[in-house]
Amino acid sequence: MSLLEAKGIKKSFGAVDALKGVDFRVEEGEVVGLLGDNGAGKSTLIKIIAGYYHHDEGHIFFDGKEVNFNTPRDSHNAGIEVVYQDLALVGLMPVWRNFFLGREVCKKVGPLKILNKHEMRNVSRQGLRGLGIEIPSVDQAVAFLSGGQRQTVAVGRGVHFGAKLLILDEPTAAVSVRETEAILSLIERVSEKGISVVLVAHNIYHVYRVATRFVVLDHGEKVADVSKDEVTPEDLIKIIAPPLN
Amino acid sequence: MATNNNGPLILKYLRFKEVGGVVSLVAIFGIFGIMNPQFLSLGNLVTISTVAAELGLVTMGINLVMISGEFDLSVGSIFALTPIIFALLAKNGVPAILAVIIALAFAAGQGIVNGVVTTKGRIPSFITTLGTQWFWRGVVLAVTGGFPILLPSSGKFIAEIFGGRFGPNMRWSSLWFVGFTFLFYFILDWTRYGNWISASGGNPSVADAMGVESWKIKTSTFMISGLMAGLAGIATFARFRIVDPSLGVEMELQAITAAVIGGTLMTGGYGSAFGAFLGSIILASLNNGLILIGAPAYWYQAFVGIILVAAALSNIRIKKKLVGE
Amino acid sequence: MKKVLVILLVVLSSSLLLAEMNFYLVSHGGPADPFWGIVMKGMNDAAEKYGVNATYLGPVKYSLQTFVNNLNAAIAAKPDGLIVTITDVNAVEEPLKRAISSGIPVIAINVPDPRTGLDKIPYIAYIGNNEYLGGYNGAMYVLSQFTPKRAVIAIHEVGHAGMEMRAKGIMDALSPKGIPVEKLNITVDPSKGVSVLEGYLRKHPDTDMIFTLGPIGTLPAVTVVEDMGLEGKVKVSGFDLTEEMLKWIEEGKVLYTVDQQQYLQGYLAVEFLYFYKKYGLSPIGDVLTGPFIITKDNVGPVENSVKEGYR
Repeated sequence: MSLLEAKGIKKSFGAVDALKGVDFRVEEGEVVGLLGDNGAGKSTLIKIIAGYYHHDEGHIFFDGKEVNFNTPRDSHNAGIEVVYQDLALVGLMPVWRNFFLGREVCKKVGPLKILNKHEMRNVSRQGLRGLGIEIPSVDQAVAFLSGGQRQTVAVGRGVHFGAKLLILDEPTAAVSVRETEAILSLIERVSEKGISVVLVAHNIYHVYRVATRFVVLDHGEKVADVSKDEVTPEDLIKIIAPPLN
Repeated sequence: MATNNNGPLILKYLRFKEVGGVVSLVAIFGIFGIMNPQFLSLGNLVTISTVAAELGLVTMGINLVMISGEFDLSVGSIFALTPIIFALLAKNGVPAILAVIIALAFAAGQGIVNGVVTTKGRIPSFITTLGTQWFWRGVVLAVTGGFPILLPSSGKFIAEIFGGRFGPNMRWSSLWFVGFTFLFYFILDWTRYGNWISASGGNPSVADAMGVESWKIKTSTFMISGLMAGLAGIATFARFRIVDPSLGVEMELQAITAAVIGGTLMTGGYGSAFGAFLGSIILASLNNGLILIGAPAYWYQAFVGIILVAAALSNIRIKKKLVGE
Repeated sequence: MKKVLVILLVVLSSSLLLAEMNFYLVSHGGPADPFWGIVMKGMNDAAEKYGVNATYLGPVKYSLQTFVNNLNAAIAAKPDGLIVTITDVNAVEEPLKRAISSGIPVIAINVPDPRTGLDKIPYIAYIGNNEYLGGYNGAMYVLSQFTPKRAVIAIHEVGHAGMEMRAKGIMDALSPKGIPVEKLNITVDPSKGVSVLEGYLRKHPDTDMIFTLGPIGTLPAVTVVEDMGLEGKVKVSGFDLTEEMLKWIEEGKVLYTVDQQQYLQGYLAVEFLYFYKKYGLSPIGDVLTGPFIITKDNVGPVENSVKEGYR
């Protein structure tokens, strides 16, 4: 039984058919690379999985049950975490507040429930450290962090709170070489814990390093679904962008 | 606890959001105090505290709305209408304590309407509350016929709880103001709800994705803003003993300015109760100080305009460094 | 920018320090209102003449709250004297009584405290108009010109205390002569006023005098008389001074209007405060600057003073 199974997903925006009946599957502990050229429908597919859009036709099963995500909150509650560069954290707030947003830890002082700041700071620091993430200070506003650091915080949060599926959209875009290394090894560590990852990216070589399976979309249709031992990065490039003959 | 290698100057602002407000306040007291020592006399400071309190109670509420990412332009009209409702009910035999509860319930209730229309109707709050501002001011004019309404003797006791005198001309409204400042600081900084307010203003989509229903949070801040405006109106009623139909006109602009001076970002997600406290005092002392040095009173309006723009610009520069956009 | 601010403030305050005495005029009227502009001119002229400092404080937009806050601030400045309009007794009573008992002399202008006895605010004097006499004297002037068969008082703001006083003055002048006179609500809307007056004139065709209590009321009255072709048969009176009003008087459409000479309100107030502070002299009782009745006979010189900004 797959962790996530999407069958026959169709989605149109007005006259544009973004997805024309796509099957997409993610097993437990897998890292799946979702590839395709611009306009292939990758973004649409993951937004549907994350609950930002609703599919026109098709079915989605998560953890054995059919699901109907109407809002991102629904998928969040089910255990799916999306790590968009700007859609996962509130820039003006510090790391620890972001880490516990919506799940704040409180302590009782008399009849009042106040934030247990000490606990939240410690837990977020340790939670991130446990994943090998070093942030200068959990009191820093998230906006101060680099793009790479922000994503690691979002990933760390997801893992800490028991996400079953992480979706990363272009995690290595606009990120330094050093941070690319950090993110990729983080993904490897996350997957070692048994958490599934869907990785949407343009850089085939980055994806190839951490993914175990590749799904290629083209103009709203799935054109390839292969495991790592079946292809090389060059093969994948040829599938995505066939040479002009 | 924290070591940092990113722009230490900016971090100082973050750790001490209200630093701009404190500096400005010290400067104002210094300048005016030198030019006319009467400015620092006890009697004058008391006068400033009363005006600051009446503005400040409104500012506290509107500050919350702004941190949650919205605007409430209707506070001035509610500031006038709430004491009018209280007076009319008390005049017609309703026991004063019930009358004030109903009036404040109205103030809070119309805030909820503002919130729901804005969030569910997806209308910018600027527009919604501009509309309700006009509507309720129209009601004020219609109900009063243009004439002032007197504080009925049956309502005096209750009204004075909010704005009556004690000691050497001090007013209870000043104490309410200080008390609410601490309350709102506590809420913003030490409760889950406060975290949700900042998130709803900073990035409502993220807040929603994380399970915080930003529309509910925003609606609640509108409710609080309405309630505070109504409370401030009743406190002012106790002082003037009449409600003039022009009461509270343009108060929303002053309240927003006070919040911005205190460091609250116009775009939401960032602000402080102590900042709003300082901002209100700054505006009150500016007005008072200008009079004491013999400047024509309408200079105040020009100054407030300059300060609003300057403060907003400086807040944006801080935000730019924070968010890098 | 801060430097400019500081320089400005230094300049301002030095003028404060150099002057012998400091007075504040706190009014409910805004500095942009031409009526109050004339009051300010009177205040400034007297201040210059006596070498004192006088500051005008008025809200830009009518706001009782700003007016009272200005008053409190002016009192806190411990001035040598205060000039205040007693716009609303309830709102200003407490701060003014406090100021007076702390030794600040107060002169009331433009609107008096209507009460008598111990409750009344103990200001030195009131300088301004007397609404009742405005009505009474005006009506007496009419009687000196002719005896109306029937008169109507067109009120455009029912319930306004000043208007009611004017109306009472008119009625008290006419009733001893047995002339029937009624009050009529014509509202502030001139077209409504026209139809209300028209209806009244048709119902009472023997009406030959329409008293109006302000330019807002005079306009519909003059219009009705023209429209119904009643010039010469029905006379109209006015109140307050505007360019239009003066033109109507010249053209014979309006018999008289009442001027409250607000220049004197500003000028005399400063002058009296100066003499009070310096030599302890003061007027006993109120000083009336109105009603000054303007008719065809004296409209010429009045126009000159309007041109020069004294009216």
